[in-house]
Amino acid sequence: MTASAPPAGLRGEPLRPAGEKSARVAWRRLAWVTWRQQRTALAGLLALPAVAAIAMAAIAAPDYGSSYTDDPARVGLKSAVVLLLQLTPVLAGLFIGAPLIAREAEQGTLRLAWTQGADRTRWLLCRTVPVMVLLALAAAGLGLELRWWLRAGGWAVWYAGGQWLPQFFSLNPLPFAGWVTLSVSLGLLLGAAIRRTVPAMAAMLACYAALLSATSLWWRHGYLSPLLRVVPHATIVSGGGYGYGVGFSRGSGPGPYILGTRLGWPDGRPLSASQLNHTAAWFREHHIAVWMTYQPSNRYSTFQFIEFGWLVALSALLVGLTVVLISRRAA
Amino acid sequence: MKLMETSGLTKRFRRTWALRDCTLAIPAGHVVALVGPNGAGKTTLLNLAVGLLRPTFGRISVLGGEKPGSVAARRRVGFVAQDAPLYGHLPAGDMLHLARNLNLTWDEERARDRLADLGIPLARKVRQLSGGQRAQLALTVALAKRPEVLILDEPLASLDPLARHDFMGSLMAAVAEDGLSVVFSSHVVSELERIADYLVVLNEGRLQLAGEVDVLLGAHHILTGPGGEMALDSKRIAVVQATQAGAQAHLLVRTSAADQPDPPGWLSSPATLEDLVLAYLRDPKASVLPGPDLTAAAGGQAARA
Amino acid sequence: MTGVTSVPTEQDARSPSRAGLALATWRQHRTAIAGLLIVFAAVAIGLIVTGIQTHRAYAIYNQHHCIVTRLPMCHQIVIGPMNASSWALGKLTGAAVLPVLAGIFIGAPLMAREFETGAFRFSLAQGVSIRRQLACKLLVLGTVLAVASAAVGALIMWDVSPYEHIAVGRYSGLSYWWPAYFNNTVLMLPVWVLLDFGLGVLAGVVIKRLLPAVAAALVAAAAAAAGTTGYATSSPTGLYSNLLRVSAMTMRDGPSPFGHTTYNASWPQAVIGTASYPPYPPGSVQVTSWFAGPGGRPLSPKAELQLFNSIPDSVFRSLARTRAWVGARHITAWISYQPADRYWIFQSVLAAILLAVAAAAGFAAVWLAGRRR
Repeated sequence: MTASAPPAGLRGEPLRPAGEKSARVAWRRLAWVTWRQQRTALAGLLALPAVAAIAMAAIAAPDYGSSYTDDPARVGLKSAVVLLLQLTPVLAGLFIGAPLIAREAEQGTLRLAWTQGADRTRWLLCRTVPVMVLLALAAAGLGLELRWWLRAGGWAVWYAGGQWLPQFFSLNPLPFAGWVTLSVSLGLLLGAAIRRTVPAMAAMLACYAALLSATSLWWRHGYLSPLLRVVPHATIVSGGGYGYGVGFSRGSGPGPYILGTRLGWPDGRPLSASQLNHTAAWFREHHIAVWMTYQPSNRYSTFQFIEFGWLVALSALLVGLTVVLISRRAA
Repeated sequence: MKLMETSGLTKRFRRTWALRDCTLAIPAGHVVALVGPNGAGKTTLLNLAVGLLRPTFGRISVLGGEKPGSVAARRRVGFVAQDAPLYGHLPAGDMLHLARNLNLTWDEERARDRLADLGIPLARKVRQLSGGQRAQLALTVALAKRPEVLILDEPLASLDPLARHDFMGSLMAAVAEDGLSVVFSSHVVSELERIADYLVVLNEGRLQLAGEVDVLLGAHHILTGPGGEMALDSKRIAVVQATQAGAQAHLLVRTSAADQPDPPGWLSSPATLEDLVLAYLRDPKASVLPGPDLTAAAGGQAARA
Repeated sequence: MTGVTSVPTEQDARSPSRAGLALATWRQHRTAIAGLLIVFAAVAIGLIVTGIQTHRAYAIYNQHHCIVTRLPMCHQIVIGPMNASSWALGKLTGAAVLPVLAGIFIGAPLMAREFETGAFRFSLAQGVSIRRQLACKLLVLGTVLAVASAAVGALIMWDVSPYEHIAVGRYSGLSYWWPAYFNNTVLMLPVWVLLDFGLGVLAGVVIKRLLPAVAAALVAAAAAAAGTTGYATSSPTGLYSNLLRVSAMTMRDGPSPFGHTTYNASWPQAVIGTASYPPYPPGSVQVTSWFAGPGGRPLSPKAELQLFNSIPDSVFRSLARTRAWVGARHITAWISYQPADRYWIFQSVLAAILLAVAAAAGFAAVWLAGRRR
């Protein structure tokens, strides 16, 4: 080929004129790049919840109310499934999110990737967004399967507040999808900031654990202001011993989320420590009741949406920060 | 069109100054050799030219005013970084395919032909290829996007002599075929003479020498004469380097005008590129710098003896 | 240049000293060791803070002889700062993560990174063989890990001891035989950390690439944990459960005619009511339970099922009638258990087994690292 003949481009098409600035690499081409590079990691990652999914499809859940002495294998299976599913976001962040940029930085291939025709932002977005969407969909699917599985075992009749437990709440379809997305975007940002794989993985783990703990122990309690009410049919035996049956088991929804209980006057004021030492008769005389702060059961769905909402918003923010970070820094 | 034009280009990394006040104007259509000891700033300059780094001070533009790292620049510039980075776990064919999907223009046929000629099997994983094969593959990837300029960072560093020879042969063939410009950095000076027609010397972050090889060689020659004190007309002859061996002195001098008669008692002989580069590298303070709008002129205004 | 040859002295001919190697290891892995120690320190601080709270509450508990008096404030303490089910288990689960972290963040990258970045070729060219280098690294890092985790293990035991004391003799509370606690004592936690560390290093040496090695180390650590303890304490598949069966002592289960755990939720209170507390001495752990027919022979599960299905309703209305019915058929309920004083024997045995596996993994890693392909 002589220098005067125009060089052929893809599929023999002539090159675009030199001055055209709007030329961009097509999304589907970048998608192939993403797929080719990430397919092993994705397959390995999804193998774990796939095991859980198959187990749920094949083996029935233990019946509600069964204990270790009745059916240790199946009760153990329930714990194992929950554990596997809870681990999925962690592993997604560790093996997909953190190494995405950090690995290429360590191995020097960023200098290859960032000097081709595709620009950095497009390259990054195409590598992360499809993966996050895929994982979010998988997570939502797993959450639905878990719900179906537990319901089939009679767990629809939860003891009061059971479905609000942290390990189960975050496995509902929407929150689960949110946590997976957050985990990957967290790993991504930390990998872009700390350009080494192992420290990025460690940092991601620490941040994720902190966020998850904080949400499970405190933030989730307060998405909406908790309500205060008297517990119906409570028996007060003493200042320290009061029992109540929270019979919210009609229907198949979750019970309320009881955040705390205490003894209080009819108008709601709490008893002081010394007043706790009175007798049951004294309590009856003064119409002392058991008050509870709680989130009512009809807020269960709302809370799922709220959690999904802020998780996705935070993920988008983290991805945005990553884009800004890589546009400004060196390779 | 200027291949690369910089003005007061400076790059600082935390506490070290990798490049200081570098002002260059390299015309297109040359094979440019960027020479300097380790740590001189060659990689920094090349990284700035492709947009992997941003300057701390000063400006740089490539291919007639394009900003490095912009869409247009990335399309027209082919880059192979130090150690020829490639994705090791991919087979060579997939590596090509990946690069094709990252670029706007691609000549697949040519890439495959090249690899076939070089005997690089497409199914073999990149990390299983030899060093020379990896370098050739990286060059193929860079050439396949049909760039106007090829920038190579120490392409010969980890290659054995045979692989080096093959690589330079491939490179020259590509230059001849497409009329590419090339900028490559090296510290193997002896290879340069065959190929380079423009020389840039960096030393300790500063630009020492920049100009066309013919012109530079024309402006320098070696004077051999008796040792001891000999007066030389320093207005017309600048001594770059003097070595003494026994009773004889060898001076590498730069003259401000051509066709000068030799000073009495001295014999002149032409300097080789290697002599030139080595002499300048040994003396970081010496330099011949063309102004930003001039091609290299012997003893130009900015020359400092 | 004139050549001046230097005659190598005796100093040069010797290999670098052990101290020199140790120092080199320290320099190379400073960040990893520092990060690790920070994590351990954070866990330790958390344990100290909650432990002080717990001990203070326990002091008040003791002051008022709560086991006996059951004052309201005792109840507040048991459901508050000394709420065994949530806090203690939470802390123990948290500590259980430490061995896995050691394996994937220190163990797997140790050699995998060297192979991947090519630094391995540099190590290969040093005066000391690869095997000695790796052995030295394992010793230095292993010692640091062992000491740090022994400290955390001791803190865990101190932190959790009040729960044990209020649980002694009662069904609720915390048993130090629970795998969650058993595996986190001052003896077992270092062993688990070393085991996961050794498995991680082996994974890094075999799979010479970082991310697959990390994944393999994770899987190996999970497999070791699952294989040792199984999913549930009563699962027969774990090493721990099988170990507990070794020369377990037996005794009659009581006081309910059907033992303290076997009951059907539909049975009347009279029969179930007496079944709350386990009969074995405080601090022991139950291993298995069974029913024995006439002559003391154990009943098969099918026979057990048949037995329970055949009990007429009229019998169940009173405890006396149930006892008579059971006695007439010479059916007795038995349990096997391990007494409290064997606790440290079991700790030592399990620790020795796991430590042997850890050492084997370490030796295998060292040997494989130096093998020429």
